[in-house]
Amino acid sequence: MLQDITMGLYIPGDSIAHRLDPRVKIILAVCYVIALICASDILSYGLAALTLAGAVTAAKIKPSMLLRGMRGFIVMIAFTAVLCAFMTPGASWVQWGWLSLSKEGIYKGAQVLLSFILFIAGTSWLTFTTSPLQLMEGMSKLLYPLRYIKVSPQEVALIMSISMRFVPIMAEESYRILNAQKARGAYIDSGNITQRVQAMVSLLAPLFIRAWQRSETLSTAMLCRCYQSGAERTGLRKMFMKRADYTALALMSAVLLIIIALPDYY
Amino acid sequence: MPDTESILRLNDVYHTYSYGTPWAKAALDGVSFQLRPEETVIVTGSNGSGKSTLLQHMNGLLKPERGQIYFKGQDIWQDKKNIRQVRFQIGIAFQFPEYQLFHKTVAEDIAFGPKNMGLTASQINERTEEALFFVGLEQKIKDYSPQRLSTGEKRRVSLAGIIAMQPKILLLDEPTVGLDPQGGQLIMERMRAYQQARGIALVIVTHDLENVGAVTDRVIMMKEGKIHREGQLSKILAGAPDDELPKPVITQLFQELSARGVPVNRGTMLVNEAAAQILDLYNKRKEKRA
Amino acid sequence: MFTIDELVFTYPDENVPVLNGISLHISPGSVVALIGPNASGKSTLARHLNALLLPSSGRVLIEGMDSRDPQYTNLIRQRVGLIFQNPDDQMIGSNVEEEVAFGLGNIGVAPEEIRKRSDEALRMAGIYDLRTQSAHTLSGGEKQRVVLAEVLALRPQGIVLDEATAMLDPVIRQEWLQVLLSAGRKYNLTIFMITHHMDEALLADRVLVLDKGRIVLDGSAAEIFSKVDKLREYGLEPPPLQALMYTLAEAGCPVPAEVYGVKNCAEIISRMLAGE
Repeated sequence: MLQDITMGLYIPGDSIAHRLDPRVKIILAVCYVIALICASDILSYGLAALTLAGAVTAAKIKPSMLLRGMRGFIVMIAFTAVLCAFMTPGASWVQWGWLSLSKEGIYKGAQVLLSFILFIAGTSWLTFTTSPLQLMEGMSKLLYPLRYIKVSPQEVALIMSISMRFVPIMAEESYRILNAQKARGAYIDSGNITQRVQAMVSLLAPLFIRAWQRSETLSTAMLCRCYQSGAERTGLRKMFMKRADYTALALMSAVLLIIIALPDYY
Repeated sequence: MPDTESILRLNDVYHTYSYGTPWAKAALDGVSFQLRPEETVIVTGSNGSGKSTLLQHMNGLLKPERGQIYFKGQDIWQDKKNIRQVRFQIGIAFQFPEYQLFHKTVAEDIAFGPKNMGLTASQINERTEEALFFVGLEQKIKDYSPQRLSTGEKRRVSLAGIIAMQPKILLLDEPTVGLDPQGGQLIMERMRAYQQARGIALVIVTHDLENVGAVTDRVIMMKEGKIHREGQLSKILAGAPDDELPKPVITQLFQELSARGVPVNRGTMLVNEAAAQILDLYNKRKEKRA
Repeated sequence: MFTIDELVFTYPDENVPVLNGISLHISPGSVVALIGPNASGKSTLARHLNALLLPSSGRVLIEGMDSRDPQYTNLIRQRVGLIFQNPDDQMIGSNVEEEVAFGLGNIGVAPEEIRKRSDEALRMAGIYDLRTQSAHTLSGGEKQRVVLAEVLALRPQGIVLDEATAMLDPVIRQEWLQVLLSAGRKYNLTIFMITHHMDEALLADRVLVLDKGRIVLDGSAAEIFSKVDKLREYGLEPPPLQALMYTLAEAGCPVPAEVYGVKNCAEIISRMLAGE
């Protein structure tokens, strides 16, 4: 259910991963995502998975937490993977009536499935180990070049970090609305598919109203704390790179290069 | 064990939130509780003591990890398909229920539950009018947008939406929070009147003992997921230490008077009761002197 | 601290003013409670005290700074902290010390100074030990202390509460108010609180009653709460002791209308019963 979405949550800790410079972590995540996009064979996925496993170990996060984060997306992922599998053209391998499945299709489906899972796990790793404010500060430093095209990097970073912060708030809010409607007999955990879909639609209207109300209060609260758009901000910590940061960057670049360099089998 | 005495019975109920995560938290730790038909029970206790979780178990919104819940002697989770029917008969109003109003008109919002029950348009209309009457709102607001109403009115519309399902038990989570004193009193008067007219049971989670306490037969005080104290409000007030349950100021006064040798009830909480006791003493002394 | 002259405010797209000619002077270091029925304009008034809203006509001066002058906006918001009802809507960071540092970061304080000021504020709010915790593991009362620490870290002159205690349970509410009031005494803060809890209003030096956008009563807590008929006219109830005294007086008992606390009230009643 929605309350199981752990994406965007921060788990405080003092692991090596938690202590990395936020800018470095963002770069790592970006490299990782690029690697996933480039990956096309089993070796590349294996390498990406290994990288993820290393990162998760360095963060001292229980793998069960990552799996939990996946639960909310599982239907969407499975659906996309199955769709991919059937839509990919190729010589028919299995045939059920007019439905045909090719070897290429199965391969494509598995690839989509793996990419999605690794993608969600990787981004969760970033938010699990980096608090929203650190993310925001790291992001605004990295986006500094935006200044030259007259866009405030801080503002972009703030918008991103607030949207992250909103994921759990909205999950909680939808849980509340869900319960209130369930209590009045909405078909949310019972009924047939049509009834459930209708019930979900009537969940959206109050959710949008609440999202709007809450974001308005949040922005008012920010104004009260002297937030000014476009103004220079300072942070609690100065960001500086340590040996661990350089090592992590070097390892990630190596992984990325290997994955890009690996020849495609198909 | 079937029983005829109670309409709702919780038997050793356990519940843990976010099971298996770093923030797993036992919310209910073996709660047993019985509710008689037409009874009013107040549930109080500090934030995080498990009050709201308890309430959500009472109408099958949450499923206990362990333990059973019986409604009219039937285990509500015995047949999962019947859980909707249970929810229609045990209405619940959450904290700030007005946040969940989203229909275009007041009437549509009140009709949400009855529609889900599969009632006909005329039945729904009848129930809407009746529900508006019980919460003390004029019939003409039926076509208004809920967003036009004041906070107190919105809350009463939300309550009407639950009353319209004609539940046998009404569960209210902090019904007076965020309202001005008269708004809060009005809600309590209306709910009390409705309860008496229909002979239903009422369970109210609240901190606001001074406003809500007047309607009570029995108080349950929760602490760390357990029922910590249970009994008549005046006895609990006399027994609980200050850091557990801050004494209403009238109770403080009466304990002070009693310490000064004035023969008053140390568990008094309400202004009316307090005034009656003092006037009684005053008139007796006056007669004696005369 | 605050000077308000003939303040009128109408929301855009509406015809009826929410605030309709308010004039007030609030001196530095005082504790003022604003009470009034739902929809009387209390929150709107609070939002004028830190330039979140600007008057349609009339003016609001905060330490002599006109809220309509944009060069003062940021300074005004540093000087006056505003705390709302739901702490979850006010927290941007997810870790306590980062949250407290947010405001300081916005006004460009250097990292070492941020550390110093936020530590002081965390200690004042009694949550120094929680500083590395993540926000969603905190209880409602702890979260509201984080919000208070965040405001205190900006070293304000005044704090405005918009029903800041409404979501707290009674024990936590008392503790939180005590923390606030002791910070108030230490830093000589002006405290302006909107509340539905009449017992909170009793903590104030001065009580204002707002009805339909006008200040209809203004005086000491004892004075205001002795005017029971007037209060009921505005949809308000006096605190229990005052209500009791009023009921007794109505029934012909020789008791004064103004009372000060439980001890005072017990004294009056026991004397009356002893026939003195």
